[in-house]
Amino acid sequence: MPAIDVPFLGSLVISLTLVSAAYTFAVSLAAGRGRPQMLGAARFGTYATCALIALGICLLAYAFQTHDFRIRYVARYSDRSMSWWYLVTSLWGGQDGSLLWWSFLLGGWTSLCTRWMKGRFTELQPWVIATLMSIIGFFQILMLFAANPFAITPASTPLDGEGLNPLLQNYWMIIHPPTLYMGFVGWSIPFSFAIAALATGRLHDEWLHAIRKWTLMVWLFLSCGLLLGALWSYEELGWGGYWAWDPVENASFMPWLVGTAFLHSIIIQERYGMLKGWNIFLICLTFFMTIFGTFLTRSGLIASVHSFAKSDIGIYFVWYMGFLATGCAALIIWRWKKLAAVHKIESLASREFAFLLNNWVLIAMMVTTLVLTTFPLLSEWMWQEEVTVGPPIYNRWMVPFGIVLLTLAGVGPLISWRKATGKNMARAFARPVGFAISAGVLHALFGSAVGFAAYIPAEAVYDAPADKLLAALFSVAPLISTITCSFVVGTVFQEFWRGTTVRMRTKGENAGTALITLVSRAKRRYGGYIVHVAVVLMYIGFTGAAYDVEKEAALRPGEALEIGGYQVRYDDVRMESDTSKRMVFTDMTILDADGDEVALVSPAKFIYRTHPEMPTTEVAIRYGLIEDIYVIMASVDSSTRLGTFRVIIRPLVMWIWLGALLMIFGTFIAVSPSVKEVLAERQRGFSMTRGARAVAGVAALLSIAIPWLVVRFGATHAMGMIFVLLAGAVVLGILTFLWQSLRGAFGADEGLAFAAAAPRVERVALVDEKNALVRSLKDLEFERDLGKISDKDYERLEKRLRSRAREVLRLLDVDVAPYIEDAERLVAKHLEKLGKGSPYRDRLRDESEESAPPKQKKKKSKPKAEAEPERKPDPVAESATAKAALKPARGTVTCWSCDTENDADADWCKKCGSRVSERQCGECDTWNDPDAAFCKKCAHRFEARAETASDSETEEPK
Amino acid sequence: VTRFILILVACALVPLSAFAQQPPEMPPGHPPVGPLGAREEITDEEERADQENREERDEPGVPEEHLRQALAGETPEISSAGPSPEVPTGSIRVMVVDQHGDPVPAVDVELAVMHQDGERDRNRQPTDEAGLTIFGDLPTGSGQAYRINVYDGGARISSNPFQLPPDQGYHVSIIKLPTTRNAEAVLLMLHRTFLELRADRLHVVHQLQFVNLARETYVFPSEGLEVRLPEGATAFQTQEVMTDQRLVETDGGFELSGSLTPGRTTLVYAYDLELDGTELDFEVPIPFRTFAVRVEALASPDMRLEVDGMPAAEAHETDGHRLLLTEMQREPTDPPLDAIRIHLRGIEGPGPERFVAIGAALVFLVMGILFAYRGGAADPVHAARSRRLQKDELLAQAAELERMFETNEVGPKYRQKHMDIITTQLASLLREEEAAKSRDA
Repeated sequence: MPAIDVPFLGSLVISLTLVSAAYTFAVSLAAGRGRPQMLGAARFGTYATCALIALGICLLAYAFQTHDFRIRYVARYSDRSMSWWYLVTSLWGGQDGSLLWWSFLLGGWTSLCTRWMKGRFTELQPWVIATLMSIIGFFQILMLFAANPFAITPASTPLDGEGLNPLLQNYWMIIHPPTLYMGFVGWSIPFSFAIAALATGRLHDEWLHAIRKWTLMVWLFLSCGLLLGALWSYEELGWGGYWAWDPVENASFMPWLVGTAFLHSIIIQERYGMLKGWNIFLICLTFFMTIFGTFLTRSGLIASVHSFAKSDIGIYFVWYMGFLATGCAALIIWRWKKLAAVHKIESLASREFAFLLNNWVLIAMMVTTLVLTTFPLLSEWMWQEEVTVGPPIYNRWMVPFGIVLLTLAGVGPLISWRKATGKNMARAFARPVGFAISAGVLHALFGSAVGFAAYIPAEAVYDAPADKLLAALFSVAPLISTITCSFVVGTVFQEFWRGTTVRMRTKGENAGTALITLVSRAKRRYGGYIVHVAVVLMYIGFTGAAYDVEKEAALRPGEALEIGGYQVRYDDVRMESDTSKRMVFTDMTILDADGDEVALVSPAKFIYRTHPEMPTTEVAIRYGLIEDIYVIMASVDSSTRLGTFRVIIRPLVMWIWLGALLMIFGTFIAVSPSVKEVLAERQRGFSMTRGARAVAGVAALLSIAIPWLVVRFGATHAMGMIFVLLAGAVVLGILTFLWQSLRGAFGADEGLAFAAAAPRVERVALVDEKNALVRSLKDLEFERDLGKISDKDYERLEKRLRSRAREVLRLLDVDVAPYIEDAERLVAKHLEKLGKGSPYRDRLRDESEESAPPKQKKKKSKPKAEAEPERKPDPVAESATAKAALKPARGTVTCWSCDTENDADADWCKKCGSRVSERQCGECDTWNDPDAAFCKKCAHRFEARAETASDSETEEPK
Repeated sequence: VTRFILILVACALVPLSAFAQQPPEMPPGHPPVGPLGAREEITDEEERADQENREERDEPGVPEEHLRQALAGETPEISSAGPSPEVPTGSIRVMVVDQHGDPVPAVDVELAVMHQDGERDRNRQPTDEAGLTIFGDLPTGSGQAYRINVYDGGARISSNPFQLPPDQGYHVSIIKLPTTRNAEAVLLMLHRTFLELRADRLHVVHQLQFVNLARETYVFPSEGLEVRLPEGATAFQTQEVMTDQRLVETDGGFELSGSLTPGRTTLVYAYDLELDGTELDFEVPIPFRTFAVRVEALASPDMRLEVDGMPAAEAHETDGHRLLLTEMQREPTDPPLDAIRIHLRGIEGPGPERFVAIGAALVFLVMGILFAYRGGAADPVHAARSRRLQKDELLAQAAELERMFETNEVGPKYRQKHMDIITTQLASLLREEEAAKSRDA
């Protein structure tokens, strides 16, 4: 028995975590309500809370490795024969431990997010932290009062544990639950930002910018978790499929649907300020569905093949869901006016509307899944009638939704933002639609010949008109799927091809460079397109289920079963055993039509020592791109060697897993930081290299220490020691963080540089709007280049956007322009002191000249509070001053039309809206390089340009 | 358990038979029990004569031989099923006979089919003059399971579920016994209570070992036999049995219905009782005449078990567990036993730290709400220091940017753009500084 009193310490740690979360919650609220100096205390409190959870995990892991069966959870989910890695997976093998694991992952997300937020979103930060702490607090209460993983075995300590469920002793179990939990738990981050935005009233794009990448990462984890679950089901559960519409599967699928809708919907708000309220609602609903899903899984309310045992924690979830729903609704109602849209959808033939339709379909899918999942319960409550809703009903309803969704995935990229004309749409749709129809015709003509018929008759499950209609649709689903999938693939290909050719034409790049630049400049868009193709691949895999062939037979050694052009021959039965189980294998040979050997497979039954009543079915699968051969041994008589086998030919399943890999790739592209972002992070002091070195150092240390410990003490003891060492390190971390936090709370912290006043809401909103306008202008131009929008619409929309952009720039200038000169002087002084060059060296010269009688060029003297205490800048009056102050400061580009100075990388003039990245010839309208002297087409000589800003500081702005 | 039962059987034949012939007082709600009357010194001849007379009078009775067989578990099986090469593949042949082995015609035989997806089908057809009926054209393999049921006078006689093999049919034999609602010959041989502490509740498992000493099937009252559970019992569970007994949860207890065939039958049900503190008292009702009562509890070192009217519990060590056990055997002359009262003492709890934690958390929660409600102002000293620190950070960023520019890591355009961002942020800080000075002034 281990010397450490883990049960007591573990319970104590959970209690301390609750206290720490509550403390952090309190100081966060203080920071959020006018005491920014408390923000540092909140941040360190967050780290301390998360470290406490990590300590809890280390203690439980140690208890598992040392077989501390005093702890009920350890006794129930492990035994002495289990290897150390399954002892680690036992952490999340049962209900109580999985709640601690849930908290641990939430702590991980929270720490990362808090680290990332340093110095950013200072107004939102306290509320984000407070929300996250409230979630962590809820899970601690749940553990303390309903599912304590450190609770002792109330009776006497057993000599050995009951062991992990044999179905969970599988390699997919090592990665599937953590990945799924990461996806589930991760939605807390965007949800917390949404709550922060509601609480502070900063409901413009700021919170969306903050969560953009987090949301994508969380979505990726949840998607991978679902797919790994499907793979686990396919390989381990042995029922022949990958998705059974089980309530627990549905519990994960529902938040995924709403989260996917949210991912699409935020793009519209970022672009055009629409759907603010809808986005808030969607993210709240996503988080709510994760909690609801957990409630379904753990309360035992609905029977499921792989839910946790029935328990009393359901009521806690009911209260929490009630609190969540009420709180979110109250906040949304409170901020209703601020959630009003800035713009409205101009046309139904627009990408915005396609996105909205996509949202509606996804929500409809979620509602359908919810109703079907809870229908047995509703039926029992309302009509006292027990009903079962099986997979056929789900499949019938989901097929039409899936087809519409997939069609929208193809339509969306082809339609332009704002408004698409018939002519442009015809041009954009022609090729993809032609490709889709051709594929459909080919499928209809030759599908049967190659074993993939276009029409598969389906019968109605119930005698209802709607079901007959669905059955009819189901019959032609293979053909419709072919058409739709081809359409989406055609669309995506066309988007890549046209984007590349436009770059090749306008920028003179070669095809490779153009493609890479195209993707790198709009990673989220093109990453999204790749994800769409991945979904198509998966959809093809799902459609393959229509062609399943199944056969069952009792065979004696030497006999064979014929199925789908194959012969599956039963060769012999053999038995093996290891420390934890007996294994009965049946060796079989798969032969093709010519009698050639295709594969050797060995389906088996494993009988675990701890669960002899629960033999597991180990299927044997021969994977293939066209079809999988899935062999299940139902039973075998060891004396007569008579075996009963079930063989299923499952076409196209491999495409699902390939689609999953492509989806991961696409999401990585969408999430990956640009070079600019990496440089910006580095500039902010975050060193990737330093982080990588630290990780590599720790990894190297562990790679030496672990083998030594394993050799010296044996694997299990070594792992126990490692967890003790980790726990020790975590304790040091906790003490440090708490000390820092308390210092911050009592005003003794010197390192809270990020607690300075945040930019005002109005300014942040203006910056957001400016960025959105710039993106819109770029989109507009790109879509015109792609031919998605007519010249007339382009001009009209561009004029409107430019007009608004001018106004926004003017308002932005007003705010800080009077202080720019001083700021530049400060930078120049600092850099000079360090012996570095500076783009603002001239400021120092100005300063020395300033000591002399002031020159006329100075538009602003240094603000003197003593001299002008009542000075309140008037936006309109100071506009010119602001521009003047800005003008000489930058490396600028002068507008060829009105000579206004613009930012060096500006594409458009902020005053007249002309394109400054190129110069238009007045004679032939050809666009030329901005500094060209002659038109490249008609050789018209341009007028001499104004000098650039750095050369003409003394000029007044025109 | 098996050893214990065998010992009981060996030791208790005489008192048991006395039990079977005593007209005891039954607990409330118990089904009526017919008179038996005491008899002395019965010879074999008398016994045979008596049996014959009884059969002539159609009176129930429990012959010694039946009693012995019932207790030893040697009663004939009333249903059997197995593959038979004489039956065509995909068919089930059912034969219904009476207790003498004579075929019983015109009996409705039900074929219940349970499909792999959970769907169920039922099909009924009568037996012919030879007591036979055949269900044909049935799917073979593991996609579905079959079961044969015969209903008679409130009892259901069922075969064990089976799957049809792909190469032969199945033969099922059912013995249809007479039925009675007279519980005279039914005895609860052992009422066993097993207690296990689980976190915040006590898990109680009852195992009821019935023995039907007659050659008739006993049928529970048509409205079911109502059995109470201790107050506050939750999470009632029962172990599904293949025999004809059903335990349906009702308000405050459960209803026992179905039938008991001759011989032994074991029923198991369980429920939870909430633990609140370190002690627990509850009462367990006994629904039938009972021969032996036993209470066992898996116990921690400090836990004690007491049952009113039973000897002090003894501690045993079983597979590393500390087991507290007490039991008593009853005599026919003992007063009726309606219930037993169980007391558990010295239960280990989760400790007070969670309440301390929740108290501290509530204090912080209230503080947080107060902070949020009252609002506050930035501490000017902190704000100034913070601005200074942020200014230093921005200047450090500028220096880093310049270094990157000098080492050609970034180009002039990037440098200018980001230097502008830094200066704009600095300008914003300067504006804040000025505003703060104005406020101070």
